[in-house]
Amino acid sequence: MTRTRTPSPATRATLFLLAEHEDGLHGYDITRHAGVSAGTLYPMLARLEAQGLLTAEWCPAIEPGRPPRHVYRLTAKGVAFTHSLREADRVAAGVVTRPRALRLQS
Amino acid sequence: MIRLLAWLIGWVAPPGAHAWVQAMRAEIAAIDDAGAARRFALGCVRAAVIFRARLTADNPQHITTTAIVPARRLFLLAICGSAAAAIGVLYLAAASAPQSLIIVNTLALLLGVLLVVGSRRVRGLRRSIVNGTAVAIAAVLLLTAVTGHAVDGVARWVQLGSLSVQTSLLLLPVALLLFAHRMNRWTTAAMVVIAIAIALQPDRAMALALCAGLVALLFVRRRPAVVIACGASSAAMLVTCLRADPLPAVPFVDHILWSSFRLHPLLGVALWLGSALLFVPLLLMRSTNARNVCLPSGVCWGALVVAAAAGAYPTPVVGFGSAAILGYFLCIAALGALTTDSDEGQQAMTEHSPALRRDGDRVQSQRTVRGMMGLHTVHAAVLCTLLLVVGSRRAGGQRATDECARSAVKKLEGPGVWQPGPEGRQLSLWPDGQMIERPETGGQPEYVGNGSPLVAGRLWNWATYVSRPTMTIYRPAVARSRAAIVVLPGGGYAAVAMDLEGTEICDWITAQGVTCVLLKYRVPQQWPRDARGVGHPPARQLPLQDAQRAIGLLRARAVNYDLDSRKIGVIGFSAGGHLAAAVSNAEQLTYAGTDAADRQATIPDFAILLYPGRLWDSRSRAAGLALAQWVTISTKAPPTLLIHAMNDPVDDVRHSAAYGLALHEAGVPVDMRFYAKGCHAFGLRATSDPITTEWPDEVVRWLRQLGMLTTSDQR
Repeated sequence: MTRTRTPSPATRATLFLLAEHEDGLHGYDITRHAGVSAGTLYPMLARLEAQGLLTAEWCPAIEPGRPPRHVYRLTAKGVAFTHSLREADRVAAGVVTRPRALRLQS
Repeated sequence: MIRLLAWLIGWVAPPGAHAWVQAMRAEIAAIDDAGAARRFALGCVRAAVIFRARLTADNPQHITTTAIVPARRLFLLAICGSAAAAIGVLYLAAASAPQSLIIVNTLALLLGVLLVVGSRRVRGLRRSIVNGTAVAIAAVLLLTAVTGHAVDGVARWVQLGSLSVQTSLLLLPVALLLFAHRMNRWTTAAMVVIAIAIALQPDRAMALALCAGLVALLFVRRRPAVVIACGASSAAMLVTCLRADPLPAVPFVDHILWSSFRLHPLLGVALWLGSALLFVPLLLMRSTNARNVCLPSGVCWGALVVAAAAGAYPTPVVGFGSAAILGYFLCIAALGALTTDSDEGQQAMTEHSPALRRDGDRVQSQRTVRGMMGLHTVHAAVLCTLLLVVGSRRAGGQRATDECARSAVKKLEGPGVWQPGPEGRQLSLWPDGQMIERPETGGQPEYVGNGSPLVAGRLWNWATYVSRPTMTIYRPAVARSRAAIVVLPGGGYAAVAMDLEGTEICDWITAQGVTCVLLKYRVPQQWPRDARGVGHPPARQLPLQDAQRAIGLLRARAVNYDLDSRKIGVIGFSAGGHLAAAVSNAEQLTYAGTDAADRQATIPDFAILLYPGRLWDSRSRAAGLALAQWVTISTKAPPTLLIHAMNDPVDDVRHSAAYGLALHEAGVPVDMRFYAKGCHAFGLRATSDPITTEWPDEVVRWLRQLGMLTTSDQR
């Protein structure tokens, strides 16, 4: 199942967050840092995984006795997609030719 | 809580999402903060629901069928229903209703939600199933009318374990829904049979609801089937209107839309809001098809709310009635299972090729098997059964009300002054010219009345709007004692039960050779209710003044009446039992005395209380046997005998238990006789319950032990 429509704000926030953490994140971390509720997150993760944008990997817990947790990482396709989203944002904001620092000064 | 949510996630999510369920559970387990974990887990439950919904939406098997009501709408309806039922449970708790009612309603709500969740996997009911269900509902309603558990010739209930379920509330709205979905011979016949059943039961509110729903349907779909059903239901309504509806209002069930405002204005508003939640969302459907299908049951629920507001009919969902709660969720579940003409669509598609048709059949049967036999459905069935078993076990309290149900007859009341027979001599308590405080008569003259409920198959008579209280002295034919017993009848301080707990008691007392004094005390006097529905005594209790005055008069005139002024006792019933307790513990006169009678001691020499009320702090059910805050115990209280039935549905046996223990603590001799059965207000009328025949002998033995029945005292 593939979707071509533009991702929702929650999806974008999640993608951007995951792009910044190459080591991957736990689901709870994403809900805290991207401001996404668990109810939105998991169906979204499942969809992104189905689209091949991210991988879910079982990692043993640091503390013994706890169950292994899912760690989510963007795939190369996911990184590229996130990058393209950022670029599209810049075009929309009209700052595509200007570096970020300049925009902040102006 | 968190473990329950974790379990729920697995239960709701489809098997395909197993890995995600594991991931969510591991994540919940990894969160240290309990609050955060709970919030996260709640979110995960929502995620599981979405996984489930997505599976259903993506499933190619369902492409040919489209749900009448989209899943999101259905979810909203379920939320509205849950909110309404939750408000109802809140009301019950606020009105200190029996715990069993609250438990049963909560379980019904849970069961309803499970039903809706379960219905999500049965999509696309076949025509034969719809027809069969409609016919089965009609059969159940007809059976209820013919063989159901009848109260006063009104048969609306079936006994399920210890629960009695009003089948019409449970099944009629669903039947309307099915009819609106598929109008054919079968469903039309079912509607006609249902109309007949409602007329037979008879049930005016349900007839109104049925008729209103069908008339509304007639406006949008003018089909012969609707016209026939409309005609049948109108006839049913006519029949029920002609037949009397004799049932009295039941507390926590009827009239609550108005009485709740007395508990708290916000509660009243919440109840109305909850009632609106029942039918407004059903009437606001987006697609024409959905609107047509939902309209009759929406109107039906609305009509039930209107009936509840207008008369003594149960308020659906909000308040009493696990049947109504389940009935509402059955509607939603049915909406979830119904799809637009999937059968026709599939038939049209498969007609061309036999191979395709076989394929279609296989898909159909696969779907049925998946729907019916899915592991989750089995889970749900087991859980539902467990809940029902637990529910009916815990509903023991409700059993008391059922076995204590009494026949109701029409209440007849009118101006008139109660008069004793020739054997009694009636005396004014106060000199005729003396001004005494008037009870809340609202300017009415004294009334006499009789009516429901029947006690041992007989009417009972009362006096009310009593502004000039009297006592009537009945002398024994052969005096065996110089004792006198003042009889304080019950009547909830709204009326005085002059025969059941008055003259009939005096007949027995005089037969024992003892003088009987029947007090007709001032009523009505309301006990203002607090926010929790608990009545509190008014500042000046007029019945107490009258009881004190009567005892003072008897003591002052003991010589005239040939009585021993130290053998003046009281026997009180129900509210009169409270009065007996009040006069037993009031060391001071509660009014300004004027004559010699008012200078006498007013505490009686013995007190017998039968099924008294207003003594125990009913809010302390969990804490135990605390006395109500207005009851003060005097060490001067006389020896007391308490008689009460454990299954008294009106005044809990704890009123007697709490009072008896408190007297005992104060060093007052107390005898208590508690019986398993007997209900309330039996007076001296014998039923099959031993208490009704044994209590008089108990009283005689007790009086004899106290030395009240001997004549060997000094003159």
